[in-house]
Amino acid sequence: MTDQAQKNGGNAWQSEKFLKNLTKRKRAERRFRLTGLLAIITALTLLAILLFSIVSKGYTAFVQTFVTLDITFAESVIDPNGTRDPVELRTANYTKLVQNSLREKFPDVTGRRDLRRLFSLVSGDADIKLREMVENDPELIGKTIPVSLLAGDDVDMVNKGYIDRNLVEDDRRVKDKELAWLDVLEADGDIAIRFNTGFFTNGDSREPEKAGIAGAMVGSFYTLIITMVIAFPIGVMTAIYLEEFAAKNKLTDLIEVNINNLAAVPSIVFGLLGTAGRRFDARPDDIADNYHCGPCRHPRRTGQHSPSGPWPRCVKSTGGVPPYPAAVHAGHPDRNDYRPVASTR
Amino acid sequence: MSFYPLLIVLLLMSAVGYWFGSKKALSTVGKSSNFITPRPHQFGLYVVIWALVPPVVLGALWAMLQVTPIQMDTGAMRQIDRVVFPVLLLLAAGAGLYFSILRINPDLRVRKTIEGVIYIILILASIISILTTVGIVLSLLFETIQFFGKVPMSEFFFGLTWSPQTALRADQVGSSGAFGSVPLFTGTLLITFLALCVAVPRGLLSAVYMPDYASSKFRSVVKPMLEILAGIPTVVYGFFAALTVGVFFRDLGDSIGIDVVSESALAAGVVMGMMIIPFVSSLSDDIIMAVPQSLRDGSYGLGATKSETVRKVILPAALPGIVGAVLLAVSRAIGETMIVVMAAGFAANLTANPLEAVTTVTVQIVGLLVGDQEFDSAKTLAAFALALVLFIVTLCLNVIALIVVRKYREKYD
Repeated sequence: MTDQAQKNGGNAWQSEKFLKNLTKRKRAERRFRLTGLLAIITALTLLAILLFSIVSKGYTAFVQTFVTLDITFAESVIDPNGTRDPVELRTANYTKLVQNSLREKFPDVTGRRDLRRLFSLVSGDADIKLREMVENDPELIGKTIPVSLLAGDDVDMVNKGYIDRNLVEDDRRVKDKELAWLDVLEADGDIAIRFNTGFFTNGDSREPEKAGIAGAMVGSFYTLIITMVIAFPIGVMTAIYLEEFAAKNKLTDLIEVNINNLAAVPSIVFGLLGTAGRRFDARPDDIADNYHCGPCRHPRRTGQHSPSGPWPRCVKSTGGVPPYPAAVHAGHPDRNDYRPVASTR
Repeated sequence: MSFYPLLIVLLLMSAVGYWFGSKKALSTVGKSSNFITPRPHQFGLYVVIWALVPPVVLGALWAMLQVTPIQMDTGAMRQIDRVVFPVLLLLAAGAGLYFSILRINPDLRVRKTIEGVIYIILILASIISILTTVGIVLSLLFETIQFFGKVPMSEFFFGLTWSPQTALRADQVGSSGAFGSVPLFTGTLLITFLALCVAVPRGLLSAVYMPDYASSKFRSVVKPMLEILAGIPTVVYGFFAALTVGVFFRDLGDSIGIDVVSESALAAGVVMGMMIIPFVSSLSDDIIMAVPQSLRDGSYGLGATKSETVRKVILPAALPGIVGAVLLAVSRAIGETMIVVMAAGFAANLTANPLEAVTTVTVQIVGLLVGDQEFDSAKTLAAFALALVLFIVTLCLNVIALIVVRKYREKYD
């Protein structure tokens, strides 16, 4: 070093070798920095793609298509006797009103199949709305007013652009005729898109346009509450114990490692703990209800139960129903009567 | 007497006890020889403890007895349950109440009792975690033993085919299922490996980049954004993997002439990797932060650049901790269920090709338990055997990781 330093006028920091090395190191530095930035950017890009994908696929569920029809609240359909009896109004055939209105709008549609397609333009829920209208205001009977009704799921999908109109008819869920009707409705300004309030107020349904998350939300809410009630006090008390009271010994260590481990146990293993726990849970009522007996998971009345199975306890220890042969099981006593069959009948 | 009336009576009794206890303490306070006496409400609490603890202990013992396989349904036992037990409970509460009020005098060290009871409650709370673990192990163990009674252990651990269909009757075709779990574990490992390939470099680099390179403004924006990834429910990731990423890889493969199935291991692995990026980054962030500043200062003092310091000083010093963090991420990836249920296949292929569909242990557990199952068939019991292996594997990984991380922390403390 000293030799070189003297050669370069006494300054080692300016030697050619050193400068070359420095450039290299600075480049390596920049490269490293860039790699780090790149890693973060890819992670954020993935996040952005995820959010975009979810939002772009999901946002249309928050709006729904409505069809406005001129509904004639015909007295002959709703209240043929003219009594205005609430029971009569409640049980009347409001679907018929919708169908009549659609027939009027498209008088040239005939044939069972075509009519069924025509009627499916409007959700099967439409009659409930009409019934509520009439119940709230029986004066409506005999009048004809435009009513905005929830569209059927296929109409909704076409309107939101999820069904390709250019597809060959055979490959398309919605046929040419329906598209033509839709175009007529569209041209008359009878189709509207509105916020999907049913999504938040309905339970699950087989009809997509009626399906909502209310039931699921209630379930999630209760699960949340119960989890909180269990986890919060126990967790806080454990923390206080471990931090403030516990001596540093093997037991404390064990508890601490164990808690950390519980947090990392796959959730599905906890799920299996719940399943297996049902072996203690089978109540006599469940059995008599023709309900699933916990882990046995098959209805008692199918006669499939094998008394020699691995779950003798779920039969034996709960309510004293002895392990019957399958045939006896098939004719299990009624609800609330879970005395041993052999002694009662 | 049923539970709720009993509870209400007990609570009423303890309320009365509280009132009497504090009243008596107040009336006797003048006779104290000590200067410091407990507050009246502490005497009240003392009485409440004596009113509640004996019945609670009795009730717990009775509940434990009911879980045991003793025949509970005989007339005598039912009589005990309905009449004798509640009376006993109330008697115990009453006796506790009476004698504790009798004992009250200003020199009684009630605070010690209260402290002791609180201490015991805290210990019980922290022991619940251990009981949970024991519960998991026992419940899985019983079913697994049943399973190994039907399927030999050697087939489960070394068999190469997994096809858990069992017929209802013995004379049906294909009634003998195959329970070789090797394809499941290779599938799990393949997806885990892919996930780590995505997560570890990104997580580690962002953990290095954030403290040393990023400006505080950048950090305050980007860090919470990365944490969002950890907060997204896994079912949403599952949707993303199945509907977007899987399809994307399939189309990509089509366009360059490679056959990629839409439920490829690659899609599930990449999305799972996304999920564990913040996991790796926040854990390694903690660990890198724990490297003493003196090491960095020494390195900078010798003229090293930042990247040299990171590569030659910080990373080697933090290596054990990072290994621990990665192990925790592995255990998390192995146990991840929802993403693979939605995005990976159900067919058990023994392959190392990430473009093919593989299945995982968790997927199969879900598959075996969904729907009505006979709980005495090997098919259903296999789920418990798989879960037990899963539990043991993740337990080992977690414990090793925790020990490594703890040792590492102690080194620099």
